[in-house]
Amino acid sequence: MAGLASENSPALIARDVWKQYTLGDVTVDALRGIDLELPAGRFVVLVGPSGSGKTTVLNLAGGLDVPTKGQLTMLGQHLTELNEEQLTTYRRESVGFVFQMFNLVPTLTALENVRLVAQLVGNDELSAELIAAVGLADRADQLPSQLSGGEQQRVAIARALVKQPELLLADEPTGALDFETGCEVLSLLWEETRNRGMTVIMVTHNTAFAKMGDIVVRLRSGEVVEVSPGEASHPSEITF
Amino acid sequence: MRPPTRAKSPSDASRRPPMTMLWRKLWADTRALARQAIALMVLIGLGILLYVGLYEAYQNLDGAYNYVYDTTHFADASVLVEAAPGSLADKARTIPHVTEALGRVVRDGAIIQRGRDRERVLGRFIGYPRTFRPPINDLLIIEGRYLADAYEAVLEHQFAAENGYAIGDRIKCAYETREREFTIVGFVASPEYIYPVPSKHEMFVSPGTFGVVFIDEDRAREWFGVGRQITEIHCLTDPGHEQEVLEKLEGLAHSYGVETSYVQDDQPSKRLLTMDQQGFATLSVFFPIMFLSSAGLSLYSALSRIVRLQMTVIGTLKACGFGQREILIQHVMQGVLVALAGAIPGVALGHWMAMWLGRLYADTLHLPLILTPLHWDTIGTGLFLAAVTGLAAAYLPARMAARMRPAVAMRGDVESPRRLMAQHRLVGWTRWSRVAYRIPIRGIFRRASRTLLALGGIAGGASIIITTLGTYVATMDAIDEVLTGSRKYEIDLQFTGPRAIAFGRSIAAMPGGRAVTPTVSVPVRVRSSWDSGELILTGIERGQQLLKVHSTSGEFINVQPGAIWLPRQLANRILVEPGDPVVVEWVKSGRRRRLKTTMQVAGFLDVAMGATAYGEYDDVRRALADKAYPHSAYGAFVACDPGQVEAFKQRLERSDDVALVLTMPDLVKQIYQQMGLMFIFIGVLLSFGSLLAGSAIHSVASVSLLERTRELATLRSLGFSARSAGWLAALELCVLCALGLVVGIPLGVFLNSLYMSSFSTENMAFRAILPWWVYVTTVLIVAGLVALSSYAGMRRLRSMDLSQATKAQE
Repeated sequence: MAGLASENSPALIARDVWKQYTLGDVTVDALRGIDLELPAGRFVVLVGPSGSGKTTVLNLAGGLDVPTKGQLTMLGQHLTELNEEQLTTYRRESVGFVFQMFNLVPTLTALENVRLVAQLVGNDELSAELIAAVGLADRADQLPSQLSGGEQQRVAIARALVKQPELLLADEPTGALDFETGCEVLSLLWEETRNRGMTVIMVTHNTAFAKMGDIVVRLRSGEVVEVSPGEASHPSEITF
Repeated sequence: MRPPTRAKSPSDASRRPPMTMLWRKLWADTRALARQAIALMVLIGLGILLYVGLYEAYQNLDGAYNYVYDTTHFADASVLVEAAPGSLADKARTIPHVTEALGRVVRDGAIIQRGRDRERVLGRFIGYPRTFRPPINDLLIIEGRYLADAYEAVLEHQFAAENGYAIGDRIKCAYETREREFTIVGFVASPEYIYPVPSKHEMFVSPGTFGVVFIDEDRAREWFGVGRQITEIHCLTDPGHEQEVLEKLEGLAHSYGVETSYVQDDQPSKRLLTMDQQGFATLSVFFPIMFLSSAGLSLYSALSRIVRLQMTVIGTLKACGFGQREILIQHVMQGVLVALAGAIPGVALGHWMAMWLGRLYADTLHLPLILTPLHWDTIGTGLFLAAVTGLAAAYLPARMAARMRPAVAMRGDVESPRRLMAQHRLVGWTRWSRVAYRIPIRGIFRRASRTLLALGGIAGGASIIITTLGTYVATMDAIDEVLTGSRKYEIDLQFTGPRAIAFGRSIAAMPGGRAVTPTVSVPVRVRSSWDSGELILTGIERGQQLLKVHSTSGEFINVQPGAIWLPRQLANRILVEPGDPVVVEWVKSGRRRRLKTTMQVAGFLDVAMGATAYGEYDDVRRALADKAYPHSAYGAFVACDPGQVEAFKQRLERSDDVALVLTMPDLVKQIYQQMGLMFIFIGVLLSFGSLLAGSAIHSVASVSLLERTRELATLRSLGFSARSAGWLAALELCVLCALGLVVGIPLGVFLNSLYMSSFSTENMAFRAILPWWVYVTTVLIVAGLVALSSYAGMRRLRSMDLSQATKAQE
């Protein structure tokens, strides 16, 4: 079992987790029986080449998908045993998502995108504060189509943070951004999550960004090949 | 030597990128949207099915009638006289363009059928040669054989079937006081009685109460006491000379008292059949147009969506060298192919529907045969209509795709400044609502074109439902008016002559009798300064309570001497107002006997069926009926205890003074028999209307889900349950449907009134009435369809692969 000793209780415990996809007659093993334990309150970076299973781990951790086989425990909840309703509650109360393509609701303004989730969890007063925190106070009334990619991702981060989740999952958050904007977004993500002490699992294929993690998990062909301590560097300090 | 062919240069190849891969892409794109493509195919298929089904049914009927008319040599011009020498037929043959002429003797009387359900019915006795088949108006033998003996008869087959006659049975016929018996040797169809009516004014004489008996002409002459005289002359003419021959024939017969004359198209049976066929023709064009319009809108909506989804692909293709023409052709072909793929099964099912309708029609109306060939013209038109619908729907999206600059296209679906500005305004307007509810509200305005098209589909479906229900209501209203609105009696009697009136007065004294009022009916021509029209003038007593006819002002009419109440349809046509004088002339007025009187228009009748005017009984009798006797129908309305109707009927039918006893149950049966086909049509159209609305709603719902896959998946990832995300999508659908109904209901009201006016004739004036339940039913059907679509959408949301859907292309 790959793992990292921690004094904190684990945020993620995976035991022989398999994920298979069937594409026509072909069955693809996206994850091949991974065993993994990640402590809470850390910034974890998943790295690996395309098809290594990074996003699959993230999807399973966020309750967007369920393992084909094995046990997956997140924040003390056995996700493999939850029904759809319980998974919804888990996503609503415990997880924040940041997607590569931002996934903002196009008909809602920046502030409304944040308030949408805030109202869902009954935490509306935080929305304006968070929009300001991500530096978009003056653009709060703009629709997503009027914002740049970086601005949209900031809104997405604010939206993920507004519910004050225990776990924040980010799938290639800089994938659709240029390098400089990507660094700005990551800085924001790094600072905001560290300040709040939340567990972050971020997927990236850019190994340089792995330096910002407390823990770096390397995957290849659906298997965990290495779990190592990261440098926990601020993104602005990272050199390429 | 063959001319040298120009070698293909590399520049040719570069100018024409290979279409093969584009065709494969087209196929793959269509497969990827299989559900939507199938929904569109179904919609277009239904439109084509309706068109082919109804129009082929119309053609089949037309073909069947024409077959009968052709094989029996149906007369092109006919003149009916009081009595004329047999030599008139020879003279008629000398008229230019007359190819054949036939004189014959015809008389009306009664058929006496002791022991059968109806003991006495109206009979028409026609003399035919027994040694050879008549060259005009020949008979189609359905069963048995033609006449071979003076004591034999052949019966019109519908009458025979209704009254349970068999070959070999005896039939007793009465003309005035003389009775004759014949042996039935055959059942036949006659071109003159495919729709068995004695005259064009008598629409409700069913096959059961009107029998046509063909007998040997020599025996007929002896029986009627007319010697060598004839009462009818019929001619075949060269095509296009019918009217000209008729006029000359009338001139020849003038001195013998022309009672009536007509060309083939005005012959009473053919005229009623043509009216029926016109109804078919209206149906076969009206409803398919609505369907295909809706299908075209849905196709346009779907193809626009495909173009939007494929903008980056289109940009890439153009960047790779594909030109505007290739892109345009590809997307236009997509629309055309989807339309044709729907049209082909539509044509096949339409042909089947035409056969089914034809059989149904033939069974209902006892038609002697029905032909169901493939009508290639209709099939071709159906496919052409589908292709045009596909082409029209696909052209604009295809042009948009073709004209896109590659760089713009590759950026994806970029919001236009105008749309952004509109959305921004919307942001302000919807601040009052909870944030989650702003999504469906703004979704409606997100793409105005899509919303408008969705509204079009829903409004189209709703309007078809309203029009169909409106047709049902109008039909029931007409029946209700005939059965319960105006008739407060149980029996309608027709006497053999005026002498029986005294007998009529005594009927009320029979056990169970409550009231009786005499009636008299004369076929008349009403002439104003502008125009004229023919109808039946019925005289009823002042103050009688058994027939309560409504005027257009909603009150019961009150007949007065010298005054006539006209149906509003006729009054509108001949341009008369209450108080205007009109000349009322017996339609059979001739040189020897011209019967006419001047009456004042008392008002207009609000009647749906039949062409009947009303006057005061004695006035009508003295001015016209007594003089026209025996061409007038003297009768009475009898009110009796409902339990005594059958007993009354049996007693009355045994009387020699009674020609016909028509009870209300008889009338109900007749009307429902005639309306049966209409109810089937209504059922079919209601199903189609619901299907159209369902397809439109399903299309809106699935487009909404497909276009929002990522958005809805994101909502679910953020913590919204499948149900709440589904409700948000359903809410948008509900609002769209509500807006669709706001447009569709007035549109349906308008189309209903348009349809009713196009469906109405001078004898049938359907009212465009829409009671509250029509609106409620329409709303309920649409709401039910919304609920079904929403439920299906929620199921899809529940089973959505969130990990994939959050990455879906918007």
